[in-house]
Amino acid sequence: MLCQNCNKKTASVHFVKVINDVKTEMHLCDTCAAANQEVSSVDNFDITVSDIINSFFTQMPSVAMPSMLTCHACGLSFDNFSKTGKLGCSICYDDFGDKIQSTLNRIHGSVKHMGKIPKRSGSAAHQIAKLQKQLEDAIAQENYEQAAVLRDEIRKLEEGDKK
Amino acid sequence: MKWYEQQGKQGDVVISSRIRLARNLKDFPFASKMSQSQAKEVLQKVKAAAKPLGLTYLSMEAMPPVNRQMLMERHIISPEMLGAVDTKAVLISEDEKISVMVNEEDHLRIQSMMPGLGLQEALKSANHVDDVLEKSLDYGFHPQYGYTTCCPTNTGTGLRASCMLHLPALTANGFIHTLLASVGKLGFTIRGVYGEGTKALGNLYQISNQITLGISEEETIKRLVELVLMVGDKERKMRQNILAEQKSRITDMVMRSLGTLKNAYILSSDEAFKLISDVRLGINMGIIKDVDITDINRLSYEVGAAHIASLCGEDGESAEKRDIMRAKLAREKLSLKG
Repeated sequence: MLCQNCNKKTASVHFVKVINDVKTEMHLCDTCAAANQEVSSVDNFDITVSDIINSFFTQMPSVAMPSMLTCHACGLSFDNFSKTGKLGCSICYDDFGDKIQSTLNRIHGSVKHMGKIPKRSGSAAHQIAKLQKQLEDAIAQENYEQAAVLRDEIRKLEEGDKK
Repeated sequence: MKWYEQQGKQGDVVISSRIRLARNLKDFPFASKMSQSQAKEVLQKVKAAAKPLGLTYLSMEAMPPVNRQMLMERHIISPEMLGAVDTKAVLISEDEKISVMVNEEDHLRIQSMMPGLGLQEALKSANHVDDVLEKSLDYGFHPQYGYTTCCPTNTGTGLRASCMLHLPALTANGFIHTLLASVGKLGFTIRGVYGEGTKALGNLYQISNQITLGISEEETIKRLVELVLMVGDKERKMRQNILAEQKSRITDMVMRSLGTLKNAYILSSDEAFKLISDVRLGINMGIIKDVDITDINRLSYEVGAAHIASLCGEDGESAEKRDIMRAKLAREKLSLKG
Protein backbone atom coordinates (compact mmCIF):
# COMPACT_ATOMS: atom_id res chain seq x y z
CA MET A 1 0.00 0.00 0.00
CA LEU A 2 1.35 3.40 -0.92
CA CYS A 3 1.27 6.39 1.43
CA GLN A 4 -2.06 8.08 0.81
CA ASN A 5 -0.42 11.49 1.32
CA CYS A 6 2.67 11.43 -0.96
CA ASN A 7 1.72 8.39 -2.98
CA LYS A 8 5.46 7.64 -3.32
CA LYS A 9 6.68 5.64 -0.37
CA THR A 10 5.12 2.56 1.13
CA ALA A 11 2.67 3.27 3.93
CA SER A 12 4.15 1.96 7.18
CA VAL A 13 1.94 3.82 9.68
CA HIS A 14 -1.68 2.79 9.81
CA PHE A 15 -3.78 5.18 11.83
CA VAL A 16 -7.38 4.50 12.77
CA LYS A 17 -9.39 7.19 14.51
CA VAL A 18 -12.88 6.60 15.93
CA ILE A 19 -14.74 9.66 17.11
CA ASN A 20 -18.45 9.44 17.90
CA ASP A 21 -18.67 6.13 16.07
CA VAL A 22 -17.22 7.67 12.89
CA LYS A 23 -14.18 5.68 11.82
CA THR A 24 -11.42 7.42 9.83
CA GLU A 25 -8.38 5.53 8.50
CA MET A 26 -5.01 6.96 7.43
CA HIS A 27 -2.17 5.03 5.86
CA LEU A 28 1.09 7.02 5.72
CA CYS A 29 4.83 6.61 5.14
CA ASP A 30 7.24 7.45 8.03
CA THR A 31 8.06 10.90 6.62
CA CYS A 32 4.46 11.95 6.16
CA ALA A 33 3.44 10.35 9.48
CA ALA A 34 6.10 12.39 11.32
CA ALA A 35 4.84 15.53 9.59
CA ASN A 36 1.21 14.85 10.52
CA GLN A 37 0.51 16.32 13.97
CA GLU A 38 -2.38 14.10 14.74
CA VAL A 39 -0.61 10.89 13.84
CA SER A 40 2.76 11.82 15.36
CA SER A 41 1.16 12.52 18.73
CA VAL A 42 0.34 8.81 18.91
CA ASP A 43 4.05 8.14 19.27
CA ASN A 44 3.76 9.73 22.68
CA PHE A 45 0.95 7.40 23.67
CA ASP A 46 2.76 6.19 26.80
CA ILE A 47 3.04 9.73 28.02
CA THR A 48 -0.62 10.27 27.30
CA VAL A 49 -1.51 7.43 29.66
CA SER A 50 0.61 8.83 32.44
CA ASP A 51 -0.81 12.23 31.61
CA ILE A 52 -4.24 10.83 32.26
CA ILE A 53 -3.12 9.35 35.56
CA ASN A 54 -1.35 12.56 36.50
CA SER A 55 -4.36 14.63 35.61
CA PHE A 56 -6.38 12.34 37.86
CA PHE A 57 -4.02 13.08 40.72
CA THR A 58 -3.92 16.79 40.05
CA GLN A 59 -7.69 16.74 40.26
CA MET A 60 -7.61 14.86 43.57
CA PRO A 61 -6.98 17.78 45.89
CA SER A 62 -10.17 19.53 44.87
CA VAL A 63 -12.15 16.33 45.45
CA ALA A 64 -10.44 15.41 48.72
CA MET A 65 -10.16 18.97 50.05
CA PRO A 66 -12.15 18.33 53.27
CA SER A 67 -9.55 15.85 54.51
CA MET A 68 -6.92 18.60 54.28
CA LEU A 69 -8.99 20.81 56.57
CA THR A 70 -7.48 20.39 60.02
CA CYS A 71 -7.75 22.36 63.25
CA HIS A 72 -4.36 23.93 63.92
CA ALA A 73 -4.88 23.79 67.68
CA CYS A 74 -6.03 20.21 68.37
CA GLY A 75 -5.15 18.51 65.06
CA LEU A 76 -8.67 17.18 64.41
CA SER A 77 -9.47 16.87 60.70
CA PHE A 78 -12.85 17.89 59.36
CA ASP A 79 -13.15 14.39 57.86
CA ASN A 80 -12.76 12.88 61.30
CA PHE A 81 -15.35 15.26 62.70
CA SER A 82 -17.76 14.23 59.92
CA LYS A 83 -17.40 10.62 61.04
CA THR A 84 -17.72 11.10 64.81
CA GLY A 85 -19.84 14.26 65.02
CA LYS A 86 -17.57 15.49 67.82
CA LEU A 87 -15.33 18.53 67.65
CA GLY A 88 -11.90 18.61 69.27
CA CYS A 89 -11.69 22.07 70.81
CA SER A 90 -13.12 25.60 70.72
CA ILE A 91 -10.68 26.60 67.93
CA CYS A 92 -12.26 23.99 65.58
CA TYR A 93 -15.17 26.44 65.25
CA ASP A 94 -12.84 28.98 63.60
CA ASP A 95 -10.59 26.61 61.66
CA PHE A 96 -13.44 24.66 60.05
CA GLY A 97 -14.84 27.94 58.71
CA ASP A 98 -17.74 27.62 56.26
CA LYS A 99 -17.92 23.85 56.76
CA ILE A 100 -18.84 24.10 60.43
CA GLN A 101 -21.16 26.98 59.65
CA SER A 102 -23.18 24.86 57.22
CA THR A 103 -23.21 21.97 59.71
CA LEU A 104 -24.63 24.27 62.37
CA ASN A 105 -27.15 25.68 59.94
CA ARG A 106 -28.30 22.18 59.00
CA ILE A 107 -28.81 21.22 62.66
CA HIS A 108 -30.29 24.42 64.05
CA GLY A 109 -31.54 26.35 61.02
CA SER A 110 -29.50 29.30 62.27
CA VAL A 111 -25.87 30.34 62.68
CA LYS A 112 -26.32 33.22 65.11
CA HIS A 113 -26.23 32.83 68.88
CA MET A 114 -29.18 34.63 70.46
CA GLY A 115 -28.74 33.58 74.07
CA LYS A 116 -26.69 34.37 77.13
CA ILE A 117 -23.32 36.06 76.78
CA PRO A 118 -20.84 35.33 79.59
CA LYS A 119 -19.57 38.41 81.41
CA ARG A 120 -15.82 37.85 81.02
CA SER A 121 -15.33 35.31 78.25
CA GLY A 122 -17.87 37.13 76.10
CA SER A 123 -16.57 40.69 76.50
CA ALA A 124 -15.98 41.02 72.74
CA ALA A 125 -19.42 39.58 72.05
CA HIS A 126 -20.94 42.12 74.45
CA GLN A 127 -19.14 44.91 72.60
CA ILE A 128 -20.24 43.53 69.21
CA ALA A 129 -23.86 43.27 70.37
CA LYS A 130 -23.74 46.91 71.55
CA LEU A 131 -22.25 48.12 68.25
CA GLN A 132 -24.76 46.08 66.25
CA LYS A 133 -27.58 47.83 68.10
CA GLN A 134 -26.00 51.21 67.26
CA LEU A 135 -25.58 50.06 63.65
CA GLU A 136 -29.29 49.23 63.38
CA ASP A 137 -30.15 52.65 64.81
CA ALA A 138 -27.77 54.40 62.40
CA ILE A 139 -29.33 52.59 59.42
CA ALA A 140 -32.83 53.41 60.66
CA GLN A 141 -31.84 57.08 60.81
CA GLU A 142 -30.23 56.79 57.36
CA ASN A 143 -26.93 57.85 58.85
CA TYR A 144 -24.90 55.71 56.44
CA GLU A 145 -21.51 57.28 57.14
CA GLN A 146 -21.82 56.39 60.81
CA ALA A 147 -23.16 52.94 59.83
CA ALA A 148 -20.07 52.24 57.72
CA VAL A 149 -17.78 53.17 60.60
CA LEU A 150 -19.71 50.91 62.96
CA ARG A 151 -19.72 48.06 60.46
CA ASP A 152 -15.91 48.23 60.15
CA GLU A 153 -15.53 48.34 63.91
CA ILE A 154 -17.72 45.21 64.29
CA ARG A 155 -15.70 43.40 61.63
CA LYS A 156 -12.47 44.30 63.38
CA LEU A 157 -13.78 42.99 66.68
CA GLU A 158 -15.04 39.76 65.10
CA GLU A 159 -11.68 39.17 63.44
CA GLY A 160 -9.77 40.05 66.60
CA ASP A 161 -11.79 37.65 68.69
CA LYS A 162 -10.90 34.73 66.46
CA LYS A 163 -7.20 35.29 67.01
CA MET B 1 -37.69 15.63 101.98
CA LYS B 2 -35.62 15.33 98.78
CA TRP B 3 -36.76 17.40 95.82
CA TYR B 4 -37.77 14.31 93.84
CA GLU B 5 -40.20 13.23 96.55
CA GLN B 6 -42.13 16.50 96.28
CA GLN B 7 -45.14 17.09 94.10
CA GLY B 8 -44.55 20.24 91.98
CA LYS B 9 -46.71 22.37 89.67
CA GLN B 10 -48.70 20.29 87.17
CA GLY B 11 -47.48 17.36 89.26
CA ASP B 12 -50.31 15.05 88.16
CA VAL B 13 -48.59 14.85 84.75
CA VAL B 14 -45.18 16.54 85.06
CA ILE B 15 -42.88 14.58 87.38
CA SER B 16 -39.83 16.84 87.14
CA SER B 17 -38.05 19.56 85.18
CA ARG B 18 -34.39 19.71 84.34
CA ILE B 19 -32.04 22.32 82.91
CA ARG B 20 -28.62 21.40 81.61
CA LEU B 21 -25.99 23.90 80.48
CA ALA B 22 -22.94 22.65 78.54
CA ARG B 23 -19.76 24.70 79.02
CA ASN B 24 -16.11 24.24 78.08
CA LEU B 25 -12.85 25.81 79.14
CA LYS B 26 -11.25 27.84 76.38
CA ASP B 27 -7.68 26.72 76.96
CA PHE B 28 -8.29 22.96 76.95
CA PRO B 29 -9.26 20.59 74.14
CA PHE B 30 -12.69 18.97 74.57
CA ALA B 31 -12.88 15.88 76.76
CA SER B 32 -12.47 13.43 73.84
CA LYS B 33 -9.16 15.07 72.78
CA MET B 34 -7.82 15.71 76.26
CA SER B 35 -4.83 14.00 77.86
CA GLN B 36 -5.20 12.55 81.33
CA SER B 37 -3.05 15.27 82.86
CA GLN B 38 -5.14 17.96 81.16
CA ALA B 39 -8.31 16.30 82.45
CA LYS B 40 -6.94 16.35 86.00
CA GLU B 41 -6.05 20.02 85.58
CA VAL B 42 -9.65 20.74 84.54
CA LEU B 43 -10.90 18.88 87.63
CA GLN B 44 -8.69 21.05 89.88
CA LYS B 45 -9.69 24.31 88.17
CA VAL B 46 -13.40 23.54 88.42
CA LYS B 47 -13.10 22.39 92.02
CA ALA B 48 -11.42 25.70 92.94
CA ALA B 49 -13.90 27.80 90.93
CA ALA B 50 -16.88 26.06 92.58
CA LYS B 51 -15.73 26.81 96.16
CA PRO B 52 -18.15 29.76 96.68
CA LEU B 53 -21.08 27.50 95.70
CA GLY B 54 -20.64 25.18 98.68
CA LEU B 55 -21.18 22.03 96.62
CA THR B 56 -19.84 18.62 97.60
CA TYR B 57 -17.06 17.45 95.30
CA LEU B 58 -17.15 13.71 94.53
CA SER B 59 -14.43 12.06 92.48
CA MET B 60 -15.97 9.32 90.33
CA GLU B 61 -12.86 7.22 90.77
CA ALA B 62 -13.04 7.28 94.57
CA MET B 63 -16.74 6.30 94.57
CA PRO B 64 -17.85 2.64 94.86
CA PRO B 65 -19.44 1.49 91.56
CA VAL B 66 -22.85 0.93 93.17
CA ASN B 67 -22.90 4.56 94.36
CA ARG B 68 -22.15 5.73 90.81
CA GLN B 69 -25.11 3.69 89.59
CA MET B 70 -27.32 5.19 92.28
CA LEU B 71 -26.41 8.73 91.17
CA MET B 72 -27.32 7.72 87.63
CA GLU B 73 -30.68 6.29 88.73
CA ARG B 74 -31.44 9.62 90.41
CA HIS B 75 -30.48 11.37 87.12
CA ILE B 76 -27.70 13.30 88.87
CA ILE B 77 -25.11 11.92 86.48
CA SER B 78 -25.40 10.58 82.93
CA PRO B 79 -24.42 7.04 81.84
CA GLU B 80 -21.31 8.55 80.20
CA MET B 81 -19.94 9.38 83.64
CA LEU B 82 -19.54 5.66 84.41
CA GLY B 83 -16.66 5.31 81.90
CA ALA B 84 -13.06 6.59 82.34
CA VAL B 85 -13.84 7.40 85.96
CA ASP B 86 -10.29 8.55 86.77
CA THR B 87 -10.86 11.80 84.84
CA LYS B 88 -14.38 12.57 86.06
CA ALA B 89 -16.06 14.17 89.05
CA VAL B 90 -19.42 15.53 90.07
CA LEU B 91 -20.31 18.43 92.36
CA ILE B 92 -23.64 18.12 94.14
CA SER B 93 -25.71 20.45 96.31
CA GLU B 94 -27.07 19.11 99.58
CA ASP B 95 -30.65 18.96 98.31
CA GLU B 96 -29.39 17.31 95.07
CA LYS B 97 -31.18 19.89 92.93
CA ILE B 98 -27.88 21.20 91.56
CA SER B 99 -25.12 19.09 90.12
CA VAL B 100 -22.10 19.82 87.95
CA MET B 101 -20.60 16.98 85.97
CA VAL B 102 -16.93 17.55 85.16
CA ASN B 103 -15.29 16.03 82.06
CA GLU B 104 -18.38 14.38 80.67
CA GLU B 105 -18.67 15.06 76.91
CA ASP B 106 -18.09 18.74 77.72
CA HIS B 107 -15.84 20.00 80.50
CA LEU B 108 -18.88 21.20 82.44
CA ARG B 109 -22.47 20.02 82.48
CA ILE B 110 -24.37 22.20 84.92
CA GLN B 111 -27.67 20.61 85.93
CA SER B 112 -30.56 22.01 87.88
CA MET B 113 -33.67 20.01 88.74
CA MET B 114 -37.10 20.90 90.11
CA PRO B 115 -40.16 18.84 90.96
CA GLY B 116 -43.12 19.28 88.58
CA LEU B 117 -43.09 22.02 85.97
CA GLY B 118 -40.35 24.33 87.21
CA LEU B 119 -38.18 25.14 84.20
CA GLN B 120 -37.90 28.88 84.93
CA GLU B 121 -36.76 28.31 88.50
CA ALA B 122 -34.36 25.59 87.35
CA LEU B 123 -32.86 27.91 84.72
CA LYS B 124 -32.44 30.64 87.32
CA SER B 125 -30.42 28.42 89.64
CA ALA B 126 -28.39 26.91 86.78
CA ASN B 127 -27.57 30.45 85.61
CA HIS B 128 -26.42 31.36 89.11
CA VAL B 129 -24.02 28.40 89.20
CA ASP B 130 -22.85 29.29 85.68
CA ASP B 131 -22.17 32.93 86.67
CA VAL B 132 -20.19 31.97 89.76
CA LEU B 133 -18.06 29.47 87.82
CA GLU B 134 -17.45 31.94 85.01
CA LYS B 135 -15.94 34.43 87.45
CA SER B 136 -12.80 32.32 87.60
CA LEU B 137 -13.03 30.02 84.55
CA ASP B 138 -12.35 31.10 80.96
CA TYR B 139 -15.20 29.65 78.93
CA GLY B 140 -15.03 28.81 75.26
CA PHE B 141 -17.33 31.36 73.68
CA HIS B 142 -17.52 32.23 69.98
CA PRO B 143 -18.73 35.75 69.12
CA GLN B 144 -21.08 34.37 66.45
CA TYR B 145 -21.91 30.82 67.56
CA GLY B 146 -22.05 31.35 71.32
CA TYR B 147 -20.90 28.69 73.79
CA THR B 148 -18.63 26.18 72.07
CA THR B 149 -19.45 22.53 72.74
CA CYS B 150 -17.98 19.18 71.74
CA CYS B 151 -21.10 18.22 69.79
CA PRO B 152 -22.49 20.87 67.39
CA THR B 153 -26.03 19.89 68.45
CA ASN B 154 -25.39 21.82 71.70
CA THR B 155 -23.59 24.86 70.26
CA GLY B 156 -25.06 28.26 71.12
CA THR B 157 -26.84 28.27 74.45
CA GLY B 158 -25.58 24.79 75.42
CA LEU B 159 -29.04 24.42 76.93
CA ARG B 160 -31.04 21.25 77.19
CA ALA B 161 -34.34 21.92 78.93
CA SER B 162 -36.46 18.87 79.65
CA CYS B 163 -39.53 17.67 81.49
CA MET B 164 -40.31 14.16 82.64
CA LEU B 165 -43.95 13.40 81.95
CA HIS B 166 -46.21 10.58 83.13
CA LEU B 167 -48.50 9.79 80.20
CA PRO B 168 -50.36 6.52 80.85
CA ALA B 169 -53.63 7.60 79.18
CA LEU B 170 -51.98 8.95 76.02
CA THR B 171 -49.91 5.77 75.83
CA ALA B 172 -53.00 3.58 76.22
CA ASN B 173 -54.99 5.35 73.49
CA GLY B 174 -52.00 5.53 71.11
CA PHE B 175 -51.90 9.34 70.87
CA ILE B 176 -48.30 9.08 71.99
CA HIS B 177 -47.40 7.90 68.45
CA THR B 178 -48.70 11.14 66.96
CA LEU B 179 -46.86 13.10 69.60
CA LEU B 180 -43.56 11.27 69.03
CA ALA B 181 -43.84 11.98 65.31
CA SER B 182 -44.92 15.63 65.52
CA VAL B 183 -42.83 17.34 68.21
CA GLY B 184 -39.71 17.05 66.04
CA LYS B 185 -41.10 19.63 63.65
CA LEU B 186 -41.29 22.08 66.55
CA GLY B 187 -37.63 21.56 67.42
CA PHE B 188 -38.36 19.23 70.35
CA THR B 189 -37.92 15.55 70.98
CA ILE B 190 -39.79 13.07 73.15
CA ARG B 191 -38.52 9.67 74.22
CA GLY B 192 -39.06 7.05 76.88
CA VAL B 193 -37.12 7.68 80.08
CA TYR B 194 -36.54 3.96 80.49
CA GLY B 195 -36.60 1.86 77.35
CA GLU B 196 -37.06 3.02 73.78
CA GLY B 197 -39.79 4.79 71.82
CA THR B 198 -43.36 3.86 72.68
CA LYS B 199 -42.35 0.95 74.89
CA ALA B 200 -41.49 3.45 77.61
CA LEU B 201 -41.28 1.67 80.92
CA GLY B 202 -43.66 3.07 83.53
CA ASN B 203 -45.25 5.40 80.93
CA LEU B 204 -42.56 7.97 81.65
CA TYR B 205 -41.37 10.23 78.83
CA GLN B 206 -38.80 12.94 78.57
CA ILE B 207 -39.54 15.89 76.33
CA SER B 208 -36.70 18.29 75.52
CA ASN B 209 -35.49 20.96 73.11
CA GLN B 210 -33.24 20.09 70.18
CA ILE B 211 -32.27 23.56 68.97
CA THR B 212 -29.67 25.65 70.77
CA LEU B 213 -28.61 28.17 68.13
CA GLY B 214 -30.68 31.15 66.98
CA ILE B 215 -32.97 31.04 70.01
CA SER B 216 -32.54 32.42 73.53
CA GLU B 217 -32.77 30.35 76.71
CA GLU B 218 -35.97 32.13 77.77
CA GLU B 219 -37.68 31.58 74.41
CA THR B 220 -36.69 27.87 74.39
CA ILE B 221 -38.25 27.42 77.83
CA LYS B 222 -41.36 29.41 76.91
CA ARG B 223 -42.01 27.14 73.94
CA LEU B 224 -41.29 23.98 75.91
CA VAL B 225 -43.68 25.07 78.67
CA GLU B 226 -46.41 25.69 76.06
CA LEU B 227 -45.85 22.23 74.61
CA VAL B 228 -45.82 20.54 78.02
CA LEU B 229 -49.05 22.32 79.04
CA MET B 230 -50.69 21.23 75.79
CA VAL B 231 -49.62 17.60 76.27
CA GLY B 232 -50.69 17.76 79.94
CA ASP B 233 -54.17 18.98 78.93
CA LYS B 234 -54.55 16.13 76.45
CA GLU B 235 -53.44 13.57 79.04
CA ARG B 236 -55.93 14.96 81.60
CA LYS B 237 -58.81 14.95 79.09
CA MET B 238 -58.04 11.34 78.24
CA ARG B 239 -57.98 10.42 81.93
CA GLN B 240 -61.39 12.08 82.37
CA ASN B 241 -62.75 10.15 79.39
CA ILE B 242 -61.51 6.90 80.85
CA LEU B 243 -63.07 7.75 84.21
CA ALA B 244 -66.39 8.62 82.56
CA GLU B 245 -66.56 5.60 80.28
CA GLN B 246 -64.65 2.82 82.02
CA LYS B 247 -64.64 3.69 85.71
CA SER B 248 -64.92 0.09 86.95
CA ARG B 249 -62.16 -1.19 84.70
CA ILE B 250 -59.68 1.59 85.54
CA THR B 251 -60.50 1.27 89.26
CA ASP B 252 -59.95 -2.49 89.08
CA MET B 253 -56.63 -1.99 87.29
CA VAL B 254 -55.12 0.54 89.70
CA MET B 255 -56.40 -1.25 92.83
CA ARG B 256 -54.99 -4.58 91.63
CA SER B 257 -51.64 -2.92 91.02
CA LEU B 258 -51.72 -1.35 94.48
CA GLY B 259 -52.58 -4.78 95.92
CA THR B 260 -49.61 -6.37 94.17
CA LEU B 261 -47.25 -3.61 95.25
CA LYS B 262 -48.43 -4.03 98.86
CA ASN B 263 -48.29 -7.82 98.92
CA ALA B 264 -45.83 -9.17 96.37
CA TYR B 265 -42.87 -11.16 97.65
CA ILE B 266 -40.76 -11.04 94.47
CA LEU B 267 -40.75 -7.91 92.31
CA SER B 268 -38.64 -7.26 89.20
CA SER B 269 -37.77 -3.65 88.38
CA ASP B 270 -39.86 -3.76 85.17
CA GLU B 271 -42.93 -4.92 87.07
CA ALA B 272 -42.29 -2.38 89.82
CA PHE B 273 -42.17 0.47 87.28
CA LYS B 274 -45.45 -0.67 85.76
CA LEU B 275 -47.19 -1.02 89.13
CA ILE B 276 -45.88 2.34 90.34
CA SER B 277 -47.22 3.93 87.14
CA ASP B 278 -50.68 2.46 87.77
CA VAL B 279 -50.73 3.55 91.42
CA ARG B 280 -49.51 7.04 90.46
CA LEU B 281 -52.35 7.27 87.96
CA GLY B 282 -54.82 5.99 90.56
CA ILE B 283 -53.75 8.68 93.06
CA ASN B 284 -53.82 11.48 90.46
CA MET B 285 -57.28 10.39 89.22
CA GLY B 286 -58.62 10.40 92.77
CA ILE B 287 -59.26 6.63 92.81
CA ILE B 288 -56.59 5.79 95.39
CA LYS B 289 -56.94 8.06 98.40
CA ASP B 290 -54.97 6.41 101.17
CA VAL B 291 -51.52 6.49 99.54
CA ASP B 292 -49.38 9.63 99.63
CA ILE B 293 -47.92 10.68 96.24
CA THR B 294 -44.61 11.55 97.92
CA ASP B 295 -44.22 7.89 98.96
CA ILE B 296 -44.74 6.86 95.34
CA ASN B 297 -42.24 9.51 94.18
CA ARG B 298 -39.64 8.21 96.61
CA LEU B 299 -40.39 4.58 95.78
CA SER B 300 -39.96 5.18 92.05
CA TYR B 301 -36.31 6.11 92.69
CA GLU B 302 -35.67 3.52 95.38
CA VAL B 303 -36.73 0.51 93.28
CA GLY B 304 -33.85 1.13 90.83
CA ALA B 305 -31.40 -1.79 90.55
CA ALA B 306 -28.48 0.04 92.18
CA HIS B 307 -30.53 1.41 95.07
CA ILE B 308 -31.84 -2.08 95.79
CA ALA B 309 -28.35 -3.59 95.41
CA SER B 310 -26.99 -1.15 97.99
CA LEU B 311 -29.73 -2.27 100.43
CA CYS B 312 -28.86 -5.92 99.77
CA GLY B 313 -25.20 -5.42 100.67
CA GLU B 314 -23.27 -8.58 99.83
CA ASP B 315 -26.36 -10.21 98.32
CA GLY B 316 -26.64 -7.39 95.75
CA GLU B 317 -25.18 -9.57 93.01
CA SER B 318 -28.14 -11.96 92.97
CA ALA B 319 -31.09 -10.85 90.82
CA GLU B 320 -33.58 -12.91 92.86
CA LYS B 321 -32.32 -11.50 96.16
CA ARG B 322 -32.71 -8.01 94.66
CA ASP B 323 -36.27 -8.76 93.54
CA ILE B 324 -37.12 -10.04 97.04
CA MET B 325 -35.59 -6.90 98.58
CA ARG B 326 -37.53 -4.69 96.13
CA ALA B 327 -40.83 -6.34 97.10
CA LYS B 328 -39.96 -5.98 100.81
CA LEU B 329 -39.22 -2.28 100.34
CA ALA B 330 -42.53 -1.69 98.52
CA ARG B 331 -44.51 -3.62 101.17
CA GLU B 332 -42.91 -1.63 103.99
CA LYS B 333 -43.38 1.77 102.35
CA LEU B 334 -47.02 1.17 101.51
CA SER B 335 -48.31 -0.94 104.39
CA LEU B 336 -47.59 1.84 106.90
CA LYS B 337 -50.15 4.02 105.15
CA GLY B 338 -52.58 1.29 104.22
